[in-house]
Amino acid sequence: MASEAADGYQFRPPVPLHNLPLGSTILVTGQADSVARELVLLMNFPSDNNEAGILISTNTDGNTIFNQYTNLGGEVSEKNLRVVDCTGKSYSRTDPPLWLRQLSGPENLTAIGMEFSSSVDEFTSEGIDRVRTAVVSVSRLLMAGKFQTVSRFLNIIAGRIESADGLGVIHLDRTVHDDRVVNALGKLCDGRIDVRKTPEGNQELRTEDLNGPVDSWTEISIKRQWPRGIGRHLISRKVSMGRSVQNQYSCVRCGFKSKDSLDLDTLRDTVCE
Amino acid sequence: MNGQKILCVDSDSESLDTTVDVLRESIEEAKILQESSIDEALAVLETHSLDCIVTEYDLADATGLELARSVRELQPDVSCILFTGTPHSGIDTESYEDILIDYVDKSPTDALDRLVEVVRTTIQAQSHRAYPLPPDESGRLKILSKLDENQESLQDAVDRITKIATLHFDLPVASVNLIHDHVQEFVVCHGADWDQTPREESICTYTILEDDLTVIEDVEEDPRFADVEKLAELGIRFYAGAPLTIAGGGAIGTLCLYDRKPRTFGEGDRQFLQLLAEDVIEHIERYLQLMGRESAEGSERGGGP
Repeated sequence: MASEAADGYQFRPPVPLHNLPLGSTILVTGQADSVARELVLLMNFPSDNNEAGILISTNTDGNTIFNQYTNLGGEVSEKNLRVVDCTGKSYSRTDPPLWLRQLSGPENLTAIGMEFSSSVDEFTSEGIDRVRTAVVSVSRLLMAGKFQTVSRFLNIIAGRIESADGLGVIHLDRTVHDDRVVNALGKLCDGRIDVRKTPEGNQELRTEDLNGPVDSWTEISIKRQWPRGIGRHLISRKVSMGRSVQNQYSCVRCGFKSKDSLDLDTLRDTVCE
Repeated sequence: MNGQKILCVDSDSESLDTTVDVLRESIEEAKILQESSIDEALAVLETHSLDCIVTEYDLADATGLELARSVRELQPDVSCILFTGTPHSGIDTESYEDILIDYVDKSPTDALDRLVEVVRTTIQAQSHRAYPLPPDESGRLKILSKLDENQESLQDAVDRITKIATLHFDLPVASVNLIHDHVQEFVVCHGADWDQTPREESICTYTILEDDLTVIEDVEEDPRFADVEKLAELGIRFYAGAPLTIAGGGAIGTLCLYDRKPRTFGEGDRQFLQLLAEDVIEHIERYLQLMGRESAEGSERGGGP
């Protein structure tokens, strides 16, 4: 478990969390219409020159997530950010920027884990003490691989984060997973944050096993990010899938319909590109 | 970290000796073994229960990833660390996508310090396991070390309870299991002849994390277990398990019911299973007391003139 220290990780507004212990890994779960994903990106912002961020992106290509990150206010340079693009997308550019690392796809967890470890070590070698790591999103990994393998991956990442006194923030789209999966992955982390959108349209978060001041549903004001205006063309409807009811999303502009278990983040990047 | 075993594998003897020396010096409590080839390393895996393996990528007769694959098959919980001068971008992982290995670059001057830190934390957090551990894992294992699942009087006592369970619930199989460090062992398995199961393939691994019963009406519909081949092989479609929580030692095992087809399990069923589990706990606690008394008497006799 992570060690507690007075000088833990700090966050700037609108993230209502303070002093998360060095070495801890937090699971952030959200329904598809929540700002969980945006919260994960905000929590990954380095707070000073002594910090760096690693962004493991499984369902959004490196350039898009980089833009979302900067749109939210992330001040990045090649010295303090690595984006590990695991989507398998091929780039036409022959000289990718230094912050971008491209991998073959979300099913190769061995490659993703090694790239992550290596990035942590590179930052450490450059004299950076604190590395924040975000995985956006573990949902895509669960679709690509076995539950046991993804659990091991998450456990190894959390172990490495603990070893480096880092901070891990893992995003999971609660809409597409069984509660039993969410709870089991939560047990591999040191704490959990749930994010939801209320019927009135407010965004709220609730924390579990964290030292922060928030312990019941608290409103947060984070703006949702939609790449290339896709969001306003999406509609959702409930569909019966055997015993369970799932959300199915479709795009009113191009007519694309999501598959049964496609998560919303994947859809954001698939439709109308 | 007492009694932990770390195996270092490197075909370059000078480099191997350096790594081993530093680990011995820094992690004094652990036993450090060393080998220079995959065949020798596999022989060690057959005879030793390891906690961590530190391997070079470029071995004389194989790659470190091939070794890691064998480790995952033989001892899946072992922490695997690639400690190599080969850049990670030059390592072909395509055939090893689900092996999972940590990577520490051997080239920087402080590489050995970093390796020590990674080995130390990985072993302590047991972070290469594919499942969460209960918070009181060490206390649990301490109690388990005092129990022998092959002890006949214990087996006879709990066998009666599993028989009652199969008759009452009209189910083919019921068992009492102990969840050891790496495997699940059956004290009794009424209605089937099942052998020990690796912890990562056992539903009971998750049952002991909960205070309450775990009921899975259809295992194939549970995404945590739908891909576990072992469960399909055994024909387990329905599962209900009660944790066996011993005072002061956490949940050491489970009382389980299985069916080859999905079924429902109502509140009355839950209450009855809970009552049976309390009976099993009583037997185990009585057995532990007896063992404690015998060992105390034994040491008194041993200590006399």
